[in-house]
Amino acid sequence: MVTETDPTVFVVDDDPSMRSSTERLVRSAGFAVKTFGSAAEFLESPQPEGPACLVLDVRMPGQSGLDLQRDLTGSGIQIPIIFVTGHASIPMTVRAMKAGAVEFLTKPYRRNELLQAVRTAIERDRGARKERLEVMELRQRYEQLTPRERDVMALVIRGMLNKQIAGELATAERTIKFHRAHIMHKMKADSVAELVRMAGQLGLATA
Amino acid sequence: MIVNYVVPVLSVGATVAVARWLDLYLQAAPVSLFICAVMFSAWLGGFVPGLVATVLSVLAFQYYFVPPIYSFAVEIAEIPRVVVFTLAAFFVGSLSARQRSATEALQRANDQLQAESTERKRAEEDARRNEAFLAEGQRLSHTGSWSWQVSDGALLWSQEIARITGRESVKPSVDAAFHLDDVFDRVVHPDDAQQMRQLFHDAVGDKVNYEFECRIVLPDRSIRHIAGMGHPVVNEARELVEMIGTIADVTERRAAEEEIRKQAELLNLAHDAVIVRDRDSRVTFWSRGAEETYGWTAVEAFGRTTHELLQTTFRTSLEAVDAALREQGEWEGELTHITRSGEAIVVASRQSLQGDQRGAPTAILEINRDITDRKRAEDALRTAEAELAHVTRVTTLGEVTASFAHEVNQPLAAIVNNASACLALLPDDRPDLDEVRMALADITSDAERASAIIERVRALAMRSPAEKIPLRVEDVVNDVVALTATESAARRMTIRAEMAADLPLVLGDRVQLQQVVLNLVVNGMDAMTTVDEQERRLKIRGSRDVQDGNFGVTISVQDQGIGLNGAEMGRLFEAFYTTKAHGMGMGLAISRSIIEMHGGRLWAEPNQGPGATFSFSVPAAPSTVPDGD
Repeated sequence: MVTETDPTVFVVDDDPSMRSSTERLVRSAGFAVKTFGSAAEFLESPQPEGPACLVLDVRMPGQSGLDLQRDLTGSGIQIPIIFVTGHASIPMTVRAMKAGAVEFLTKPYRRNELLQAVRTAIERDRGARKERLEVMELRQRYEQLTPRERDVMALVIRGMLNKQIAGELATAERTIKFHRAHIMHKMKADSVAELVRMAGQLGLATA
Repeated sequence: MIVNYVVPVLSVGATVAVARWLDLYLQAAPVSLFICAVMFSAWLGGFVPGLVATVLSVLAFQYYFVPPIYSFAVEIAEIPRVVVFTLAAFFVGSLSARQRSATEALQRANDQLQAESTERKRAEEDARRNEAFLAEGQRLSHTGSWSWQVSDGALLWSQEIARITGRESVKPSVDAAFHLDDVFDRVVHPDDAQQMRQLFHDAVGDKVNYEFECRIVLPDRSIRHIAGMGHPVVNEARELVEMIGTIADVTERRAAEEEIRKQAELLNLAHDAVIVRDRDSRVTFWSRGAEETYGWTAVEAFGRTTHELLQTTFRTSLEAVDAALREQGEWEGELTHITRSGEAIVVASRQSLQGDQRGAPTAILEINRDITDRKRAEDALRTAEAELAHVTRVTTLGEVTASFAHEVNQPLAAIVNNASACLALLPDDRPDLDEVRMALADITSDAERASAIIERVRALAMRSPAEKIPLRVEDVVNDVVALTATESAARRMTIRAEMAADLPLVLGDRVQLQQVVLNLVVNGMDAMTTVDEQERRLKIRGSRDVQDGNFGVTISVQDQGIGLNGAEMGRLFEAFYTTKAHGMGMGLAISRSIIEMHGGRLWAEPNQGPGATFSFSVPAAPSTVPDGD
């Protein structure tokens, strides 16, 4: 088991008093907090080891919070975002939520509103990290398969019987049975159903 | 005629008498006397009287002088003598008669000749006179005539053409040696020759009238402009006999036109409408500016009467303008014209009378400047500026408010965060810190309240959906009365609120409803600025009403001010419409949207007495609204 690092809450806000008060508030709930005065500052910092979330001010000089969200998505950095703003317009909120924001809070917010959002975000990130780890491991297993085994697996996850697969690949049913056993072993799958789930995580076509 | 027969009888009788007398005394019969009588009769009377004289002479001769005398009987021996005598008399008579008729014929011929001569002389005089008249006419009009004979292709022309073409030495009318081709080759300008030849041949071929204009080259190489026409003359068989026509020297006219055209080109550069009209007000020149101003093209305008074409409305009258032109030679003023598209435009018009060398009026030069556009542009600019100012103010208000809300929310949020953090950090088991906990809770609550106020102000500026809660309208009215107390006192106005006791609660946004009431109160105060101090009374009434079976509240604000007219009533609620010198015209528009957002309506009506009443009605809150906790 990998030991999980403590969750970190990143706060990006151009207003110093807002930054420090938010840090104080979040830390009071037991989270580790790192603050940044601008989007650029945040982008320069190293990526977190453990689960994390971002409390992001929308209106900032230079790059706005929404711009940062877009850039993060664009460069494949997945971190749940909680937006906070002095006032929110409906289009702005819609845009942020569509792009995957966890919450959109209007200042001043209640302590619980923020903390609840932070917890949700951390949970989500933890899940996402776990998923990412799983997928990474599954990919490693999948890469151990021979090309022939991958062909057979592609047909197995489509629900075909050994006989059908043998017909499809013009080989003996016994050979397929042999391949299937190898696949199940290498992928550490207990059942075809689990193999199908794994294929889904790997993004293989199961239809 | 009878004389012609009396003469032979008398002459023969006389001859008989004389011959008898001579016969008696001279013993000789002078027969020749009878010949004389015959000759005389024939000469005098002609052939027939001569014959009568001959017969009488023969009878007399035979009776008196041929034996047997005194008898008509003739001796054999005497017959030859009688025959000879008869023949001689007849011969002489005939001769004499012929001589006579010849003389007469000659005389007649002579007379006729003389008469004809007189006639011809007169005709020649007439012709000479006509020719002189024609030549003089042609000389004065610079118009000559020509004729081209189909039979021999000869080109005849008048002296004036010879003069125009500078070929007075050539006499084509005499020797017919001047051929048509010579004209096209040597007289007509080389650049125009081909076209002229074509025109002529077409006209000859089609036997139709034709007109032409071209340049000609004089022997001294100078160039003149001519304009002419040709007319075909045909015989009964519809065959072309000749082509006759005229030529006029239009060099000066062309030069003048060219001059005018050049001037017109310059005039075309002007945006003003430049119009030249003749004495009958018919357009003879129409500048590009005129086309642009009125929409009528020059082609369409030519020949039209300006006042009719442009449906001129005179500030004074057409007669006054004409009189000024006649007396001072010019006129200046404003006119209203209708353009082609039916638009009425106001023009600043300057007109001056143009005269020829002798000062006789020939045309009127009219320069019209469309000042409608200028006025409209000025108006539009003013309106645009005003609108811009309004929009800027409103936009600025909205933006400033939004920005203000954001800026103020930042520290408020930080206050709330810090207070919340402190509360979280305070150990729960320390009752001595309860006061701190309460203070922190108050800080949080007050910061949130301040933020809510800001948010509502911002919502008002942004026209965001209102926050509706059940509220008492009388509280709203009282807030506004309290708010305006200072202002109304300064303006020496009294505001009285009469609220019914049984008003139901309404579901609404307090700030927004305050905004509406405030707007109506300020409007009412503004309307009373100019009335007597004693009359400056504003009454706010609140009453319960029922609409469609549902309860509601009506608030009326009645002033004693200047009141409303019909036109104002229609536009009262338009955005930016204002009757105030410094108003933005947004108040009532905003108020109405607020009331409509509350499901109610806002209206205005004139009072029975002076002033106006503005009212709004909003529905009561549903009776199932839970009691606030």
